[in-house]
This record gives sequence, structure tokens and C-alpha cells, in this order.
Amino acid sequence: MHPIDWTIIALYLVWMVWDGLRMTKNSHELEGFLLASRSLPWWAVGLSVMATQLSAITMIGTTGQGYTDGMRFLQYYYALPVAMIILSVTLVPFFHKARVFTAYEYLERRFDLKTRAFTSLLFLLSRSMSLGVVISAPAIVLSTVLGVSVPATVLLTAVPTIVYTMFGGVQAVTWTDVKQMYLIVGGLIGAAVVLVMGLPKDVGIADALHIAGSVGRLQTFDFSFDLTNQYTFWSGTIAALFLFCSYFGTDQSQVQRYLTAKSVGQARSSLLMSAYWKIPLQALVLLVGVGLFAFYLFTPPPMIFNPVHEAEMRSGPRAAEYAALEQEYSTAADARRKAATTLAHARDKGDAVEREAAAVFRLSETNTKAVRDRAVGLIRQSTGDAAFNDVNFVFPTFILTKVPVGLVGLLIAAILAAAMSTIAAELSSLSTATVIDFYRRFVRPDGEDAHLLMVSRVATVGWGIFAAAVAVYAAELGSLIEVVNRFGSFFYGSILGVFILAIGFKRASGHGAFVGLLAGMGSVAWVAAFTKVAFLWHNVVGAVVVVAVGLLVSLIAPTGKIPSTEPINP
Amino acid sequence: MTAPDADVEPQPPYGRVVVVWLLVLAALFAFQRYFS
Repeated sequence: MHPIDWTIIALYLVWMVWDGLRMTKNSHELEGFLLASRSLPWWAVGLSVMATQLSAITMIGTTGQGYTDGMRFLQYYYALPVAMIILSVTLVPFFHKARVFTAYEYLERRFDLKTRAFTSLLFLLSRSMSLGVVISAPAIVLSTVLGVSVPATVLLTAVPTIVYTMFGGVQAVTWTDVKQMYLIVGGLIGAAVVLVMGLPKDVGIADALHIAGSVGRLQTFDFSFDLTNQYTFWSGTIAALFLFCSYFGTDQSQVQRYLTAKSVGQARSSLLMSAYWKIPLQALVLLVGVGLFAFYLFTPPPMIFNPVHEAEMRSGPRAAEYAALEQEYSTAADARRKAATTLAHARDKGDAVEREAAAVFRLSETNTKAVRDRAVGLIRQSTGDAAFNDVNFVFPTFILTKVPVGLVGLLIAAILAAAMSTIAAELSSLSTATVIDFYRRFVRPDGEDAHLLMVSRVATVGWGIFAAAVAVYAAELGSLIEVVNRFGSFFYGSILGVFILAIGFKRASGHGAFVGLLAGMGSVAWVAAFTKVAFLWHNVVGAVVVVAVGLLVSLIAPTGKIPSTEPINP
Repeated sequence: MTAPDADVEPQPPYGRVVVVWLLVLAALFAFQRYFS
């Protein structure tokens, strides 16, 4: 990478730390440090909500998914605007009027201590592990493409983020999120421009989209009802509704964002920003992936986008076999390029000609993909890594090999920004839940503000070190990433069920909520272990079982906690 | 000045959010149909 690009990355990191540290002066009280004294404007909170949700995995994984699989993944987000409306009407006013620091604090007022402590503990466990993955996934990719070690890229991402989050608290997190969001969107638009300019002169944007569409890359609706298929219109609108209600309504990393807003109205507006912009933003990310597909139709693509594995194969014991596949791939990709060009030119020659050209192109794409699949299989056999996949390397490889100097640094900075915005919000929320739900509740209920503030800073650093260690460990055990992702999906729906009981059913008791939560998690574990139902539907199973079992137990063993919640009901 | 109470604070324009959401889905559907 050119020194100018390294300089841009260094400047970005210094800017973020400096910008975060500027906020220290407003963070000398606990409420200021953890909730910005509930003073932030809706637009900053809204951008922070979006930046937290958009991680580096989105930047590199989703663009790669767009390249290999097209835009099907967009369906995952279709329910998000509806979830935001539901939360704006229900949970947001509850949290604001209760003036809580954490979502789980509310559960003690409504139910009992054990329900609060258990849900907060589940949050700490899942979020700290997933934070390790959030750091690890881009660190692995950046270490490969930049040629530095994984611990070095983990530190490059984690240390600046820990520093500004520890000193500046949630205000530093929010205001850096705002700048990071601008950088991410700017980077994506910059990448899209380079991709369009990289098309041959006689192939326009509409031609490229028609070519991508002819092989299903622009499919954004799949109306088949298949519970084992992750991305369909139904899983995106029904199952994902439960996931987003849970993530944005009960996960402290998101709840804390809008608890910092000036008022209930501002908190609602901040969530509705995502309702308007999340689907278009995600479409932009996936379109960059589709653009990569179109770009590499006309520019010879590498057979495998992971340079380390590519080099290993070329010098390993099966080098001859790999070289033969590379030759075959080159021939197939060249035939595909010619077919794509013919299809682009056939668009104004009548339907019959276009249909025939499209059929030839589809066949050439199938042939090219078949060779690539064989190469992936060969690498899996040779390395023993059954989960090998180079999807995450497509966008970074494009950045480092096809993008002009200057923009490379900007795009790598945008990937770091996506990672850091998520890491900072999660660190801040982990620290808040640790201090408010455990330290202040069990260890120092009468702790002075200054002491609790100091503990919050220590907790931020502690969780940062823990997550960085998990990240380095996860990098060595690739399959751990999937385990952690599945671990989180075990109780997202179940925790939502507890909150549905809390605000939707006056008869629900603490015992009911707690037993329901255990039953919900058990049900999800059973469904995950013994059925092939896609994980998005696990959220529905968890929430429904918690509500059903919770209500049943509440009828049998009521605890009569309801009166204490009445003052905070809106 | 204190923050407005949740009870009296006006609700955001949810109807507009729903309309924009449906328009976005319709546009995506048209996009898929046109280019495939």
C-alpha cells in the first residue's frame, strides 16, 4: 500500500482519538459519561444507531455476499421500519419516563431482581463474545491484505476505540459515530464511482445491471415460504421483525443510544431515521457487491480472493492441480467476458437476440462458478479448513488492487470506522450494564458518583482487553465465529418475550418472566439442535414460548409486583 | 425548561414512515422486474 494511504489511515485514527478526547470535559459525572446527561439531538443519536448496527462485517462481508449471491440478503431488513414504529410506540417511552440507565434496570422495577440480573448477564456474555468477533473478522481480512499480523490489526482497531470511549464516554462514542457514518457512506459512494468508471466504454450502468439481473444478482424478493431458507420475503418481514424489535428494543448497545436523546420525541425521531434510511443504505452496500461482480466480468478476476491461501496453493504439494484450475478458470472467465459483452450489445437488437445472448451468458457464468467452486474445494482439502470461504476478501482485494492511491486509504479508514463505531458503542454499553446492573446494585449501592465513574472507565478498558483477546483467539479458530453468532441467536427472541410480558401483560409476574425466559431459551436450543429451521425463526420461537410459559406460570404463581411499576408506565 | 412529557409529546408521523417503506419496497420490486 502507498505511503499516502498509510498516512490517511494514521490521520483518521488520530482524528478519531482527538475528537473523542474533546468530549472528556462533558463526562465528569456518571450520567454524563454513560448517558450524555440525556442531552443529545435526534440526528446525532440516529446516526449513532445506524453506525452501531453497521459493522465492518457489513462493509466486507455484505459486499462479498453481493458479489457471490446478489441482493437477496436485503430481504433481511424489510421489517426494520415496522420494528422501529413498534418500538417508538411501546418501549421507548417506557425507558425514557423510567429514567433508567439500562434496559434491564426496568425489569427489576416491573418484575424482580433475578429477572433483571439474568437478562443483563445474558447481554454481557453474548455482547462481549460478539464484540470479539466484530473486532476479529475485519482484523483477519486486513491482516491478510495489508501483510501485517492479526494481533497488530486487532490493536490498530481496538486501542484507539478503547482510549476515546474510556475518556469521553457515550458522548465521544456518539460524536465519533457521526463522523464515522459520513466516512462510511462517502467511502461506499467512492467505491461505487470507481466501479462504474471501471466498466468498458461500450457498457453502461444499465447494461451492467441487466447483465447482473440475468443471473439473479438483483433478486430482492423471494416469496417462497421455506423455514429452512434464511433469506426470503417471509423470514425478512415476520421473523426479522422479532429480531429487530429485540435488538433495537432490548439490547443495551442500542437502547443506550436513544437513552442519550433529549426527550422521548427526539429518541423516537432517532429510531425513525433508521426506518427511512436503513434499507436504502443496505441496498447501496449490496449494490457495491453487485458492482464488483459486474466489474470483474470485464476485468480478469483472481480465482480466489484470499492472497495468502492463493500463495500457499501455488507453492504447495498440489500446485500443479491448482495451476491447471487457474488456467481453466482464466479460459472460462474470458468466455464469460465475451458473453457479457455480447449481452450488453444485444439489448437494442430485439427480445429474441437478447434472450439468446442472456442464455449464453448464464451458461458461461455457471461454468466459471463451477471452476471456482472446485478451487475452493481443493483449498478446503489441502488446508483442512472445511469452512474456508473468501467472500470477505472480495471488497478489500478490489480496494488494494484496483482503486487509485488516496481512495485506498480512505476506504480502509471507512472499514476501520465501521468497526470502531460498533466497538465503541458495545464497549460503552458493556461498561454501563456492568456498573449499573451489577456493581452499583450488588457491591456499592451508595457509591459516590466519582467512584462509579472511575469504575465505569475501568470496566470499559477491561471489556476492551477481554474482547481483543477473544478476537485474537477467534482468528485462530475460524469456526468459533459461527458458534458465537449462533450463541447470540439463542436468547434474542427470549429476551424480547420478557419485555413483551413486561409491558403487554399486567398479570405477568417475576417468576413467570424468569421461568418463561428459561423455557424460551431451552426451546430455541432444541429447535437449533434438532431441526433445520433457519436462525431468524429462532427469534419467533423464543418470544412466543416465553410469553406463553410466562403467562401460564404467572397465573399459577403470581408475585404481585405490578403496583411498583405504575409510576413509570406512560 | 424540562423535557416534554411522553404523554403529551406529539407522536412522529408514523403514517409517513409506512408510506415511504411501501414505496421503497415497490421501487425494489420494480427494480428487480426491470433488470431481470
